[in-house]
Amino acid sequence: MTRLNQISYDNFEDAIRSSGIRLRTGPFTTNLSTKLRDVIHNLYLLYADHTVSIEPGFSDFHLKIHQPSFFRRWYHPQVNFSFDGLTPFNPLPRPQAYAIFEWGLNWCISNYSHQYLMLHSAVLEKNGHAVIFPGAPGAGKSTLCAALSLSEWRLFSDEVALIEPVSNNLVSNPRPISLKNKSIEIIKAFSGEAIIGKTIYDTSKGTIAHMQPPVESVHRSNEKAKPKIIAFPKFIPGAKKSLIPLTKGEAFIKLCENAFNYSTLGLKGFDMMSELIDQCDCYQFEYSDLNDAIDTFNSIVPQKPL
Amino acid sequence: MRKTQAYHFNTEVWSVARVGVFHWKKWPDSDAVILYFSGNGDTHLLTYLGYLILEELRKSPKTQPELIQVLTALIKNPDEVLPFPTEMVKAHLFHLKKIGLVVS
Amino acid sequence: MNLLLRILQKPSISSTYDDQQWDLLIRQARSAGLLAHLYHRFINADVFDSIPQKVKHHLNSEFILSNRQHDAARWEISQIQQALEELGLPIVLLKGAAYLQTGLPSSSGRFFSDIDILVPRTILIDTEQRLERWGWYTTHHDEYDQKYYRKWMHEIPPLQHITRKSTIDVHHNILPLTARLHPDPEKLIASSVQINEEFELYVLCPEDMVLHSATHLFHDGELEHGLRDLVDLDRLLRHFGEDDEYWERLVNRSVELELSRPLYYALHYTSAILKTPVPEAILKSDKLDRPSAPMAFLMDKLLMRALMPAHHSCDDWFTGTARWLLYIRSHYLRMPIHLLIPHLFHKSFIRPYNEWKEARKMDKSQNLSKPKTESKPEIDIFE
Repeated sequence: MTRLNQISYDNFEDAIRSSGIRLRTGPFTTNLSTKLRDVIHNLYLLYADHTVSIEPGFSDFHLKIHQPSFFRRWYHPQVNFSFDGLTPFNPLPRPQAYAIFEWGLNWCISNYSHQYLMLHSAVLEKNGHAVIFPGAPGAGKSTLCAALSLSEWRLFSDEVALIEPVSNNLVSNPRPISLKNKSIEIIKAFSGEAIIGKTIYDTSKGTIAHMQPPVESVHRSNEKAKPKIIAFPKFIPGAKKSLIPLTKGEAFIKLCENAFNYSTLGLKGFDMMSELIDQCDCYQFEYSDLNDAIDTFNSIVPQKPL
Repeated sequence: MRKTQAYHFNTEVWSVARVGVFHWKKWPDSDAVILYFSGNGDTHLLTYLGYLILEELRKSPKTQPELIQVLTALIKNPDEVLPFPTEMVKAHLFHLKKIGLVVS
Repeated sequence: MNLLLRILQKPSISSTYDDQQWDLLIRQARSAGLLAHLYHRFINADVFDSIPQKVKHHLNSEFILSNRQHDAARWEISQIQQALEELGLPIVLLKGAAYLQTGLPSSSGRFFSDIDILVPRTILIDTEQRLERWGWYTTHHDEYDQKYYRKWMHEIPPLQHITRKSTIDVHHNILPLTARLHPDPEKLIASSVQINEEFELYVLCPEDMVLHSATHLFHDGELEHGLRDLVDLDRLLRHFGEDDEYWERLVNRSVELELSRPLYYALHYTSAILKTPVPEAILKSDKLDRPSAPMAFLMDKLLMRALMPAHHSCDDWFTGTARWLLYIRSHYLRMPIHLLIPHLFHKSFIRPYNEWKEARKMDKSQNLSKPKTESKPEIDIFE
């Protein structure tokens, strides 16, 4: 396994077009093959610091991004996602090829990783403490996540919190952050360091673009962290920032609603969730200004444990 | 119609669901209690009264008057005398039945 | 390269596996719906701990999923039982639900989507009405389907719970009324066994349980879960077969119920594919209804393919055709040809036409230019 940016683009392209490459993201290894140039190009940019292998070996998921039929290449071209020979979804318009890969991988993780308690959340870490940002769509979770990751917070994930049983540690799974509509410009303006991939228009979520995860987050992706804070973010234009404590019971129920597999885990899910809520301070967080938001979390995250 | 219903309510025996175990989680920051019911795998946020009702019915099935009697004894406060909120118990029982935790 | 069969025969050979072999095994087992089953096999063979962690994750994940499904099924069974207890008649659980409720080894890690029950035909309508009071409603609103089920099938159209979405198949026989074989449902019910004394819940007796599973796989089924169903048979036969006298009883019962052809296939293919220890004398018994030599040859060519994991690594040039021919055969065995042709015609032409008509209506009313097929879920479940 080597870092993707240590492999030449041509070698990468050859491998992904033939037997596929094995891409490592946190605890998961994905075998991916595609012949679509825009996908290969975006991957090469956005996963530059991830480890990949072109040798065969064990992969958790076997994915292919391809065009469904020959003649549809000219008439309303489409793109399909296949999971080890199965196509679980309807095809999407061809320009959304890269997005279907990211969504497809999210789908694989949330469907086939019940060894973890999985929450639909962004997760970031500072001083050894992890903050969980569960997100309803439109709550501004990804924007906040991108801004924090560009402000010396370590990115764990912008989509899914993976919680290990027994230790109740969070497992890091850093991948490109999916920015939508206005967020793309907001993040570009927020930091000149943000590296943003190809813009994809007219998806079911509007315009989207992905931001490369910061190098350090990717390199340290085998380091786990203890959950310390749960904050349900809500972006309200013009609002003053406010951090309102939630009772543990309220937070429990709200977090269940944001879980991918809480009910699948049964009693174990209840025990893990109980312990998670025990360990964390829980808030509702409203904001409109990213710098305010970052100051808030910088001030409430405890210092590094000695 | 109302009369028969009321009559029915007094003699109807309430008990907890036949299959399944209650698992509770409570924090000191509020009265509400989290319940995981292993029978159907659902999780609920219940009031403290909901918790008391389920625990009493778990010990033994009861009619509504019996239940109110037990609950009154449980929350008796020597300093003040309050009529017990019968309507609240009724509403709770209906809700608990709807979510599959009790049967009548 | 079929790794899954070898592992099913002998889980301990996994100790020699390298990463690539594990990779392929997990994929084959997933496509066969047998990953959670493998979890139990590895545990029972005492080799689970030596499996690489990254592989264990997949076994664990499926094990957790099947556990949840079993808990949910137990709840559904308890609800069905409460809905029907006032009938005061035995309710016979079939297939997955029966294995689960009696704790048979075939239930470990087995996925099943529906609860199947068998009731006497005389109380079918009553059963349906009572289940409806507990929230289970019919899923087939198409008039043709309703008529087709009620006239020809061994079950009423599936019922689905209005909130929990669980499905029940209520049977009054184990084969359609039109089928070539005619097992007597009264005999099945008469020999069924009560699970525990408290409730009127029954399962088929050990012989009938195997015969039902065999009939379902080799006479009625479309073999979409072929290998998984064969594994069921293997588990059942190994378990009941510990009693030496079981085998003779099984063969005799198959004669009595006119099911000795499917039993022949079951014994033949479990021992051939999964090395199930069927006694030699039983395999050769005259009482089994063997197909003629050319037929046996043909069925072998078809079934040895259709019973493999549905994964492209196990397919050859003939696999697709074999599955298709067996699908046609299952329909042919269900009903006489004069009924079959109109039925398949309806399935392949009339229904799609009606659906197409409906879709056009929708398109016009919403004035949407985009084609929209909702048969598969949309991918964008994420923010």
